[in-house]
Formats: sequence, structure tokens, C-alpha cells
Amino acid sequence: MDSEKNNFLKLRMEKISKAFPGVQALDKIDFELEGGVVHAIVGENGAGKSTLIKILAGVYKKDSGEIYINNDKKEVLTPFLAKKIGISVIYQEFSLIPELDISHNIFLGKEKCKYTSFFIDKKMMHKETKEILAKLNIYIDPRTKVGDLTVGEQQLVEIAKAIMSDTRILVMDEPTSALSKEEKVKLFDIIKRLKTEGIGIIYITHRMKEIFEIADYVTIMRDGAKVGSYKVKDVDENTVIKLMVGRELGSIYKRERTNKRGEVVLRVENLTKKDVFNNISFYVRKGEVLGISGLMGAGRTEVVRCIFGLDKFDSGKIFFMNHEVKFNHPFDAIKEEIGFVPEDRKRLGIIPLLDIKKNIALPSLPWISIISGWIDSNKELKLANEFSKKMNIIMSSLGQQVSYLSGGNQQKVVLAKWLARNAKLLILDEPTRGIDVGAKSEIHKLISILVNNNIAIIMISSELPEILGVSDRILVMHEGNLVTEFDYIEANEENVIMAATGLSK
Amino acid sequence: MNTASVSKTKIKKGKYNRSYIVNLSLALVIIILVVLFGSLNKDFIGFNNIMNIIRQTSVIAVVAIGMTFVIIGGGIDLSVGSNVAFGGAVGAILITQTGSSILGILGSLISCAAIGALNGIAIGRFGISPLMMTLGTMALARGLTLGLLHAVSIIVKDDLFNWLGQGEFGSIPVVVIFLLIVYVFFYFFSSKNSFGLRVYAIGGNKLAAKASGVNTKNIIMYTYVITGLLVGFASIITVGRLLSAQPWSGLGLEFDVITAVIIGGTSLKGGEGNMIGTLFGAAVVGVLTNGMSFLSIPPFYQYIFKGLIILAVVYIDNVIHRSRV
Repeated sequence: MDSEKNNFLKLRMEKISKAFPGVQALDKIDFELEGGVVHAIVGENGAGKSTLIKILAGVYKKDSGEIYINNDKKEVLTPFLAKKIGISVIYQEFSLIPELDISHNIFLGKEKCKYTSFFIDKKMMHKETKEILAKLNIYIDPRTKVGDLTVGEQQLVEIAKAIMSDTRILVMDEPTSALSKEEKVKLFDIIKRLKTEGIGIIYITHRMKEIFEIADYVTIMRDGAKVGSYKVKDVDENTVIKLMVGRELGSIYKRERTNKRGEVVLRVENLTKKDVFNNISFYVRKGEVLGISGLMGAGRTEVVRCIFGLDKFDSGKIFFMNHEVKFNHPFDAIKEEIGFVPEDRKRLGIIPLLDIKKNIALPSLPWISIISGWIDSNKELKLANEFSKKMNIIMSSLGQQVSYLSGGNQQKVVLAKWLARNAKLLILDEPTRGIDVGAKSEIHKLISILVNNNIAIIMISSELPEILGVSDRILVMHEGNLVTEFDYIEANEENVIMAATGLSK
Repeated sequence: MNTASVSKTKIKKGKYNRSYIVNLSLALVIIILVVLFGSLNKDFIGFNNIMNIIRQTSVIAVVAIGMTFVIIGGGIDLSVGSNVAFGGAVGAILITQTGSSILGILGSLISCAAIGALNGIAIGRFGISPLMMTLGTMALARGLTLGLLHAVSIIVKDDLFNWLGQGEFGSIPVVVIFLLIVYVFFYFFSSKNSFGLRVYAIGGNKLAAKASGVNTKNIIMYTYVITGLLVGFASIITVGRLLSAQPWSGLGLEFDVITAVIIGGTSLKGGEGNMIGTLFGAAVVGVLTNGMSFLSIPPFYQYIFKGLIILAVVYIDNVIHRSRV
């Protein structure tokens, strides 16, 4: 066969399935790749793209399905084996070591030695590195510390590193998310070159335009299933988008929305943080859910973190209940009765070693203590009881350590602690991420109850059904800018995704 | 979407949680040790010797309270030993120069608290590594002590000053009562006061604590200040016991204190621990030290044994808390 003659690698993945507790991440996925081809994989957050790649790279074990390399079935794949086969992955977070120079990074693990294997032959490494970089049209001194390079240059070094190890299949996960226009052009040139050398490239992206610029094939994934694989020249942007999002919304609880709105609770004017987000202005009213949609990296979390006092911003104003506020620390925001349910509950939401009661009580300490901070344990117990019941937390007792709860129940603990604070404004960042459908709808019901109690809610979500089914108004951010605002009636999957991917004017 | 609801909640009864079990086993260990040493020498379990053990261990026990807060909060304090000497030196000088007991006592307390504050501000507010900072203050305090005392001891004859270390209520040393009061207070302070809960929160997950409104910088600072204050009391006890301020007091104290805290179940990783455990941990250290002296085991072996215990305890701490992310 042609591919074998030219030493091209042919990859075939058949009916790959993988489940994690509570969610079927991949459902019988088929995927093919030939050397010399760029095959793009698109899909929303959570569609399963990363999972598929990690299985190919040997990081995850598939539950079922087969992987064939040149018609050779590979039963077990580990990162080591994957590397041996010639599969290299460039993740969104680079695997470079900033303190070491370029050649050292490229030769990591396979340093060139002289006089026996005791001394590292730096000269040789620099020389070879220079050659490899030159092949890719990169002219940077190999002795430069990687940490001193721009993100775009680091990206190129990562590619050089992958090529160095005889890569036959190169996987790139959102490679252009941090690149400038010029760097992107360079990247695409390199990709074209790699194609001529017979390397097969899997290109994961959200960005519609790029698929049509660089890919030969495109596979669209949705909710862990493959929706379709096409030759790029056979489809257009709109078709791809339609395939990316089309689904029944019935599975997610749709909120009964009314037109009742209260006063403006929060108003943000021209909020700017250099290189993160730019000129963000919006408002939220009592009794309404403001959904903020956008791709990962659009800057949504960063904006709300600044509102809550976790991070500083450069310019702009924030008004809470009509007076200007400047929160230097979350405690200031909490005093004003703002709550924040973070995206990463393990990092920011719960204290894993403490029990449920203490976690719920934590932000409310000043209000359940008497002079000098002595906690009124009756108040503490009452508070924890009341709100753990309201959130329907499934636990053995309030004294149970939070780390032993399921993800959904942990999230409920985080919600409970802010409910206990009587928050006027609640900021939810991906409130149902990583939670099974049952708990998801419970949380949506709770959001409903909160809103009916006149609480204002800002909800960041990357899940379209959630944004469309729960929000009253929807903001869409793209690369740090506020692109557009919809009322829930006028919003639909297509116009939201188009705004999120930067396609709408 | 195909979902497999595989949510499991591991059931753990609140009452029989880990610290309860640890404290129980520690109490057992202490009893075993006492019985062991007692069987080798009957005088070991005499009333006088028990009081002696408590007196000898009092300094470690007092400082261990502060150290428990510091370690739960995720830090460490290596300066406590030198600080004890520093406080004693300041107190002794003030007394011999001014004749005022009150001034001497206040001097010791304030100077030790000042070193604590120095640690607290640098570590809590400026984020300097606890290891580096307290190594620095360890040297600083020792240097100041040697400078103040001109490297010789100063005799302190003040009865009020020496009362804490020397005094007795009948046959019970004052220091025993003091330990009781201080431990009871800090037991409640760590478990029932917002401050305590916040320290646990910070040690358990600093970012989440901050996102819940805890002023992490200040709370960390206070853990070091509290330690400094307690060291102040320890320095007064030390002077009282020796009836003098010694330039090399407290040498190596930090190791005994940290050992006591770790044996007591506090994890070096932070976020876990309790005062009762620390008290038992100090008791273990005290019983072992006194017991080995009682059996006339040469100091050389005592050091080795203690070193091995520290290593064993740190190893066990690592194994027990390995599941921590």
C-alpha cells in the first residue's frame, strides 16, 4: 500500500468507548488518520475531544474498542508505547521546562553525551537543535532559555521536540489559542511541511476558520459521540456548526422564565485587565439569571474573579446596589452579600479536610460568632442543617469530611455556604461541570428557587443547553471581548456559538 | 446522553474520626511507656518524678501549642529555641537593671512576641518562606541573646519572675496549673473560635479559604505572633527553673517541639491536628526523655534514639497523609 511504502502511518480507531464516574465521555467513536493528512476534530467543551486524544496517547485506558496502527491491533497503549509508535501530543499546557534552554528541552531524556555517558555534549546538542529549528524555518539561538521565549516561540519548540523524536502522528490541542497572527502563519507553514514528510496531524480546535484554512478532513464530536467525518472541501462553516450543536434540549431542565425583574444589583462599566479582558460592561438585576457564554479562555472567569475581589483589574468601575465598590479581598464582596461558586471546586470551593458543617459555616463566621470570634455552635449547627437540607446534600452526617462526597454533593456544599450567607448576588462559574445529569437538574431547580427569591445570578457556562435553558439574558464573550448580548427568546445554539467562535460581526 | 450514575459517598462517622483514634492510641502509648520505664525503675512512677517530668516538659508543651497553629496553617517555626533564650535575656536584664518584676515579665513577653511578629509579618503578609524566615530569626534571636548577655549567664533572684518556673501550690508546681489553664484555653480557642477554624481552612486549602472570605495573610501572621507570645511564657519558665538566664537556653528546642506536635497527629502538610494530640505528643517526648535519663542511658544514645523517633514519625506522617492531594 502507498502509505506503508512511504513509511506513512495509518491510524484507525474503532468504536472507542470510555466512561468516567457519572458520565459517558466517549461512545463508540470511530476515527481514521493517514500520514500526510491534517484531520481536525471539532466539538464543544465536553464533547470528548481531549479524552479521545488522551486514549491515543496512552494516558487513559479505553473501556472498549480497538486501535490499529497500520492494521496492527494495539491492545495496550501506554505513554511510552505511544511514543515508540511515534505518537506525539502537544497539549494546551506545554511540557517544556522554562529554566532550561531550547536544546536541553528538545533533547530531554535523550541527551547527547561524550566520553562515556557521564558528560553532556552541549555543543553537539546545540548544533543539532539549530538544524532541526532551521528545518522548520525557525531561527532562534538554541541556547535561549525557554522561559524567555514568547508563547508562540514555545509552541514552535514543542513542535520541534515532537519532530525530534521521530513523530509519525502529531496531535495538537488548540495550538493557536496563544499565538499572534504572524506566529499562526508560521505554524501553518510548518504544518504544511510536516504533511509533505508524511506525518499525520490531528488538529483539535474550536476555531471554525482554521479548519477551512489548514485541515483536509474534519470530524465533529458532540456529547461523546461522533456526529460525522467529512472532507473539508465537502462542507461549509454553517454545516459544521449545526452538527456541533444540534441536540434535544429536553434532557436539561428548562426554567420557567417570567418577565418579572427587580432593580439593578450589579453594574460593571468598561472593566479592563490588560491582555485578559477588555471594556466589559453589563448589568444584572434581582430575580434574573445572566448567562455568560464563550469558549474556554474567553476571559469570563477572569472577569467575575475581579468582581468578587479575588483578582485586581486595571481600569473600569463596578457598582453594587447603585454605589461604587472596590473589593480588595473576597471578604469585602462577601460583606456586601455577594457569593462566588468557583469553576474548580477542589481548588477554590471546598476545604477538603474539614467536615460539611464547617465548610458551610466558613463564610458566615463573623455572623454566627460572639465577641472575639467564639463560634455559637447552636447557630453553626442550625445554619449547616438548614442549608444542607435545602440543597439536599446526600451525606452520612454533617460531620462527614467533604472530600468523601461525590462531585455533585461537593458542589452542593459550595452552593449551600453561599445560600447561608443570604447572598444578593450569586456568581456561578460552570456550576454543573463534571456532575451527572441527576444532580445537574437538581442544581438547576435550585437556581430557579433562588431566582424566585429575588436573588441575582451570574452564571458562566460552556454548556449550551444550560445557558439557553436557564438564562434570562445571555452575554457572549470571545477572546476577552464582550461580543453580544441576547435575550433568552432570541438566543439559539447557532447564534451563540457563532458569537463565541468569533464568527459574528 | 448516556450516563452511568456511579456516585458513591463513603460513610464515615463523625465521632470516630481519625483524630479521636490518634489521641486514643497516643494515650495508650504513654501508658505503655510509663509502665515500661516504671518496671525498670520503681522511682520512675513516683509522684515526685511525675511532677518532674511535667516540669521538664512544660517548656516544650507550652511552645507546642503555638507550633500546632503554625503547622496546621501550613508553616513552620524554627526560631522558637533561640527566642526562648532571647526572652529570658531581656527579662533578666530588665530585672537586674530596674528591680521591677513586672517590667521583667513584660519585657520577656513583649520581646518574644516581637520576634513572633517579625516572623508573622514576613511570612503572612509578605509571603516569605517560613523555613527561610524562621531560620533567619533563629540566628537573629540567638545573636541578640549572646550580645545582651555577653555570652554569660545572669542570675535572677526575683521571686515573682521565678514563680512560674519555681513556685509550688503545696506540692504541685505552678507550671502544672499553668499548663492546664493554657491548654484548656487553646483547646477551645482552636476548636470553637473562628480563628481556629480559619487556620484549619487555610492549611486545608488556602485558595478556597481566601475565596470564602478568610483573610489568609492576617491569620497566618497571628499564628506566629501567638507562638511568640507563648515562647515568652516559656522563656520565663526556663529562667525560673534555672534561676538564671542562660545564653544557650533552648538550643534544639524547636526539634523537640516539632516532634511533639507531629507525634500528636498534626500533619506537616497542614490542615490537620488538634491540641489534645499535641499535649499527648509532648507527654510522649517528656516521658521518653526523662525515662532515658532515669535509666542512665548515655546522652549519645538518647540523641540517636530521638533522631530515629523524629524520622519514624515523619515517615509515618507521610504514609498516613499520602492520600492528600
